[in-house]
Formats: sequence, structure tokens, C-alpha cells
Amino acid sequence: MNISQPKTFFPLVIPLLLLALFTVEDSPAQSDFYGVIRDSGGAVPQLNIAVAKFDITGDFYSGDEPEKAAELKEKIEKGLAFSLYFNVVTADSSLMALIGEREMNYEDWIYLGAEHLVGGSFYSDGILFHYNLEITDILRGKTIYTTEFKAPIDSVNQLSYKAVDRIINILTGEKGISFSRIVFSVASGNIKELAICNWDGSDLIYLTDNKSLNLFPTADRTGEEVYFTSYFRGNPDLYKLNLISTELAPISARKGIDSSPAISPNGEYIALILTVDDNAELYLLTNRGRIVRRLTRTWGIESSPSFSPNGREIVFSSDKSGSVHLYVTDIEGLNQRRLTFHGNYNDTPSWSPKGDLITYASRESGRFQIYTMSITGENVRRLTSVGNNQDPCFSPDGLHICFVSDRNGNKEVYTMNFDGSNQKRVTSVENAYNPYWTPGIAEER
Amino acid sequence: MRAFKLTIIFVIIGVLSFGAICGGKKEPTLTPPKPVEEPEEEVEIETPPAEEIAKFEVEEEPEPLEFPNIHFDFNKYNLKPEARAVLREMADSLRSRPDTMLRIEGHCDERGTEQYNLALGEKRALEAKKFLVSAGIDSDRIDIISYGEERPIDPGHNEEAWAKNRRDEFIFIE
Repeated sequence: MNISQPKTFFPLVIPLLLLALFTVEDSPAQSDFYGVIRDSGGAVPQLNIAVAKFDITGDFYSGDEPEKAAELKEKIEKGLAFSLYFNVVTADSSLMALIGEREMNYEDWIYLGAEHLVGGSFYSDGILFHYNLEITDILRGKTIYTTEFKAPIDSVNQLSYKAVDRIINILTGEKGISFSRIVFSVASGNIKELAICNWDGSDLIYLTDNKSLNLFPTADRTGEEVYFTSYFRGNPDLYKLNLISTELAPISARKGIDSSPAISPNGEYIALILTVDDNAELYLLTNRGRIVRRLTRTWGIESSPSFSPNGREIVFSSDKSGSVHLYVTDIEGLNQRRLTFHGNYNDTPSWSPKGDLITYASRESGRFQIYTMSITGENVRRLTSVGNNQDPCFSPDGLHICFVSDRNGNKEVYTMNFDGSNQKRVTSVENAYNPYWTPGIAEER
Repeated sequence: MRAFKLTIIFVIIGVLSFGAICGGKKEPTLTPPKPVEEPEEEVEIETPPAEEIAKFEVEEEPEPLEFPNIHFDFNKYNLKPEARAVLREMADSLRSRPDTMLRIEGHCDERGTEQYNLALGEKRALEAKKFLVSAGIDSDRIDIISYGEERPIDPGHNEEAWAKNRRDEFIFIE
């Protein structure tokens, strides 16, 4: 992964910071760590980390334990690299030639520049996979953390997610997003059903099967409640689907559209576009669907709200100026200000959960491209250039963005880093729309 | 505990049915059924001769109303002169057929965002409804719905297709 590409963001202060991490007195607060990453210029402060081959202990049950251990190692490497907190160091061919048949040792890892080593042992008891995670500070030659994870047999994914989130937490103090998922619409003919998959595209399942249009899914901070607009009773109304109980509840079925919902960070409010007063306006509703207040009064169309992380403000689009631009309002409906001044069609904003950036899609020469800007509307950066790129949404940690692109023909969900690097396709459903990146329900237990 | 609850339920059922029986016994004596409404019922039930039914159907079966889609300019919802002409004619038909209901579907081309277009389609449908209401059609007879850009009639990605897709469709319900 090449993250040093753009000019801004992420300094390389980490080695120092790291030393501080393990001397109790200087242990930095979580927010400090993040502040260092995001607020200063330079490249991403990645820790150089390596994942060793896991020992296999215990009896073999299925016989494919060595393959599963290798798969786990590979998935942990992938997860660590994706998190952006790490530069995953692997043995290059010249070193391998030097080593020959013997096992890698500390000197080899130091030679490769690794600062930390993830190792441990793996075994199967026929019902569960067990992984004993071991994190070693290579420079000090000292194991700094060990723990055991279990997951149902064949669930190497889960095991790797648990391990990656723990490693992130131990070495950076941050909360990983390995269990986060992406919920989106999949079109087939005249219908759109909701689907959800892991951040890497794995474990895709469909959430609806009502043969109608199911649009604009979003979720609360627990990742448990998915809100969306559905035509399954005829009118485009707002519904809530609980992913654990699978209970479906109508939330707002007013005259006209009940469209493009956003849920406040504390889960108490819904920002929603309604046409009850004939014109599309932005409203604030309780999470049960009662209107608290109307936030806009224009002749134009308001659309696509997204809450600020403190829940006090909402970014949305409006065409009241004659073209579609982004605006911010507080939840009282006051202090409204315009954020975008470039182009003539800027819509579908998503406010970073870290609070510093807003990503949105802007149409230029008939195609949409994805941008970020600061919350004051400055530092406008275009992140995509090939094909149509739409519906950006920040990951729960604010370090990634998911979006839809048709760059390879079909509309698929892609992910990228917040600076536009590392753009990757994650789905193969052919017709994906409106992705929303939701926190994982099955957080590490 | 459960047995206790069941007992209570049975007791309640018993009391209720006792009441019902008592009520059933008393009612005839207190309020004898009124024979006044009987003739009316008979009139309603009375069926005309078979040939009259056939005649009625042949004569009165209305042609289902059909009107062409009206179209809009890119990113606009105002009614063009051609659209107004269609709607004027539609208002005349609806006036002469007071039992016909109308559903107006607003649609957009694919070029905006789905979120924005859902609102734009609503405005396009509403604009036609407003016109009909101002021409004297009861607003309760007209239902509107937006499909945004979800239901194109031409799947093409060119101006010809887009022009067809920016439309109101009219569905008449007798």
C-alpha cells in the first residue's frame, strides 16, 4: 500500500511515539495519537510490523490446519495494512535466499525494518479454532502482549478480525473497524434489494426480499438498526430494520417522499427529506418518526443529510441557489451556511466520524467524482478520476471512504483511503447503489 | 401461576357468556326489530331482467382513459406548453367522469443523484396535479408518486433516452 503519495497528512513521528507508548508515564491519550496522525502534514505514520508464520500445536482434526494457519496470517496482514496504522513488512526474496531452510529470527526482522512482530500459535479442537496472539517488540526483544482468541471452525475471517482489532488497540490505542460492514442497494431489473457485506466484501447477505425499491440505507452507531426508504407498500416510506431481531418497523409514512435518512450519532434523531409541505425540505425527526422541526424553508430541493459527529450540525444539499450545493445547518435550523462554491452539482455528503472532513460527489462533464473538503469548505480535493464515482461514505474510523464506481463497467462498491489512495473494488454484484459504512455489531468479544 | 391465569380467563369467559345469554333473552322484548327497512332492502336485492344487464354494460362501459406522458427539460419541473395542452384535455375528461381517479408518476433521467431525483420526480408529479386542481379537478381524486430515476422507459445513456425518461405518467383508475 502506497500512502505516501499525496502531499498532506500523516507524519512519521511514530517510532518516537511508540517508545513512549510502553513507558507508562508518557502513554499518550487515544485522541492525541489520532491528532498526530491526521492534523500534521506528511505521510501516514505507519508502524513497521511483521507477521511471523504461526506455530501449529495440538492434534490435527481436518488435516488442513496448516493451510488455515497460513490463511489466518495472510488475513491478519491484509487487515493490518488496510487499517492504515501499519506498514506490513514481509521477507523479500534476497533475504529468503540468505536464510535458506532455517526459521526467521529477530535479526532477520530487524534487517527488514520491522519494529513489531505478530506471532503465536494456532490449533483446532475440532469445534473451534484457537489462536494465541503474541506481539513482540523486536527492538527490545520482548513479548509485550499475549492473549487467546477462539472462533467457530472455518471462521478464519472472524479470528483475523479479532486479532487485527486487538493489535491496533494494543499498539495505537485506537479502535479498529475489522467488524464494520457496508450496507447497500443491489438493483436487478426494476427492483432494488438491500445487501450487507464485510468491509472487504466477504460474507455478503441480502437483508430484504420484497421485490420493490429499497433505497438509501443508513445505520445507527450500534450498527444494529438499518434505516432505509422502501416502496414495498407502494409509497416511498421510511422503515427501520433491526439486524438482530430482524424486526421491520415503519418509521415515517407521510404523504409524498420519506427519503435519504441520516441518524444522529446518539441515535435519538433522524434527519429526513419530506414533502409533506409539498416541497422537498429537510426535517428533524425523533428516532420513532415524530417531527421535531422543519430545518429548511426554500423553494428548492433539499436532500442527502449527514450528521456531524457531535450531532449538533447537519450537512445537506440544496438547489436554492439555482444549482446543487452543500450547506450546513445546526439542528435548531439556525446558522445555515454554504460550503461548496465549485461546479454546479454537489450532493450526497458524508461527514467524517472524526469530524475534520466532509466527502461528497460532484458532477463534472456529465460524470460524478468524489471529493473531500474541510468542514469550513476549504481544502477541496478530488479523489477519483476514472468513470462515474458516487455516493461516498466515511468508515466508522474516518480513515476510509466507500463509494460506488462504474470504472470497470458494472456499478460496484469500492473502498479507498481518506486521501484517495488504495482504491479497491469490494463487491461483485453488478448493480450496487447507495453504500453506507456501518459499525460492526459483532465487535470483538 | 399459569393455571391461576387460565382459571381467571375461564371465569371471565363464563361471566361474559352469561351476560350475552341474558342480553340475548332480554333484547327481543325491549326492542322488537323494525320492519320499516325491509322494503328498501327488497328493492336493492331485486335484480333486473338479464337482457337489461347486458344492455347496461354495453351502453355504459367507459373507454379507459389514456393520455400520453408529458415531458420536462433537464433538471426542471415546470410544465411546458405541450404538457399544459395535454393536461387541459385531461381535465375535461376527468370533469365528465367524476368517478375516475388519477395517479401521476413523476420520473427523472439518470444524470442526477438518486436522492435529489426522488425529490425532483415528486415536484414534476405535483406540478401536473396542481394544474389539474386549478382546472377544477378535486385534489382527492389525484394521487402522486415519485420514482426518481428508478424506472427509466429508455435504458439508453444519451439525450434521446434522457428526454423520454424525464416525464410524468398518468394512470387512470375507474
